[in-house]
Amino acid sequence: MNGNRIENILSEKLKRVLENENVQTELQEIRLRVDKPIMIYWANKEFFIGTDLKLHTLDQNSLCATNDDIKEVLEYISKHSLYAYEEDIRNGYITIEGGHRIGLAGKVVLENGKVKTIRNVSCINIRVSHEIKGSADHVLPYIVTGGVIHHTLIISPPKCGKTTLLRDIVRQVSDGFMNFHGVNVGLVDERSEIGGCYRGIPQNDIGKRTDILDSCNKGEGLLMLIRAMAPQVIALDEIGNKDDIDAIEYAINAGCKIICTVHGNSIKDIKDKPRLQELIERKLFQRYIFLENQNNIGDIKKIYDEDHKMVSMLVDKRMLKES
Amino acid sequence: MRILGMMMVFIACSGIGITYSYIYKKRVEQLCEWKKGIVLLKNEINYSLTPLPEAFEIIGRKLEGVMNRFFDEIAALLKTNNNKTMSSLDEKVIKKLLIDSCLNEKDRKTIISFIKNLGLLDKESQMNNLELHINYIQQEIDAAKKDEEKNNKLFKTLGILSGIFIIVIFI
Repeated sequence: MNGNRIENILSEKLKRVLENENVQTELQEIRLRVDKPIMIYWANKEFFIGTDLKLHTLDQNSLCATNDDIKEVLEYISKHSLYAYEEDIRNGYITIEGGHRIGLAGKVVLENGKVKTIRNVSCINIRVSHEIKGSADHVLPYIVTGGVIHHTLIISPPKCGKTTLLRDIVRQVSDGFMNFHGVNVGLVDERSEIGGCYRGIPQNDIGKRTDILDSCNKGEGLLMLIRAMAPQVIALDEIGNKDDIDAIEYAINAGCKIICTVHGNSIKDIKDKPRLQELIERKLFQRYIFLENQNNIGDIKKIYDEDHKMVSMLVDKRMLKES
Repeated sequence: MRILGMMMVFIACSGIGITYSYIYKKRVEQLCEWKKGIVLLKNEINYSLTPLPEAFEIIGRKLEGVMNRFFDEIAALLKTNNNKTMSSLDEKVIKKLLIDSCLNEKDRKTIISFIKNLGLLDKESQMNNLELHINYIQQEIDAAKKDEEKNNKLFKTLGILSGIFIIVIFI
């Protein structure tokens, strides 16, 4: 049995639906909420499960998740060992074999004002890990020019594929591509989304010269990598707070190249983040990549240089065909 | 021929007596081995947070005889049987794994119910559950030791005497 298969963590009912409908290839999310219809996100569309155990776009007599369904899935996710994932549960998610991320919500138990655990889990979001090799092919020539890697900031709203793009950039910069010989990459994967580590081992291909710090705070992780692993490039996902920015500045001063992502829709959006604004104004980032969704995830990529002049606009070929 | 027959009756009766006394001795050994397994499981959970399938596998390697096989088989069951919760594990399957043991019906039921309750517990509850079970097993071991002392000699003597009795009757 393939341990990476998402079916292994599903209840018998859901497993049958996925097998019947053959949706495994483009499956994105499965959302379970107690007494609410089960939702499946497949090929960028939302589906409900009808009483006939088939997928429907309309919510009519849809199959609802029960408390027992949630408990069952939770037991499979934790391999019958909830105690082993208490730290993950405290963070609100569990990463399972295959790099799939399971988000949890429910009754939060606090201790001294901090989250101790989530008891009575009532909502589960199963996010299927998607590794799209080659998704960075078109942007890499702008990130690496003449053998030199530019400090790059990937900006996009949620669900536009910035993590997928960053993962492929990391892989190709690490392995090398075309005439570029790979370099050592340090990856701080705070939320286990890039490498999808399961027990410290990356489940996604992040390249042969990549050292990963999994579930580590970005600011601290970045400093640890510089001290211990001497990376030429450091990659980070979803930077935001002051510590992250300070660490990035330290890494740039230490001679490392930075490739990172941030939530936002425009340069103005990210300029509203005070510390990040400083780095932008000092032109520390040499490339900005904006992702947008038109028809598919991240099908438009706009690339700007340090002076905020557009260098290129890449449009997914599938979109051109559709229009 | 007559002497040979008498000897065979004597050996058979004594053998039955010794086997019964052996079952009492083995039950104590197997309960001790089970307790050792649970103490190791408690440590695996407490210090390494090892998930149950791996913990059962690791502990199986440290145990002997029936319990070595039992822990191994439970680990394999948990690893391969992905669409079964702990509480829905088939009792017959678990019972079958203990078929070679000298444990009595009550011991087997206790082990089955313990395994079925392991599934959805957080660390604190898991520790309490294990502690409770260890205390219970210790009581069972103490009682089994008393039974062994009492019945060991009894069954051996009974076997030998019943052999002699049958021989005397036939003479």
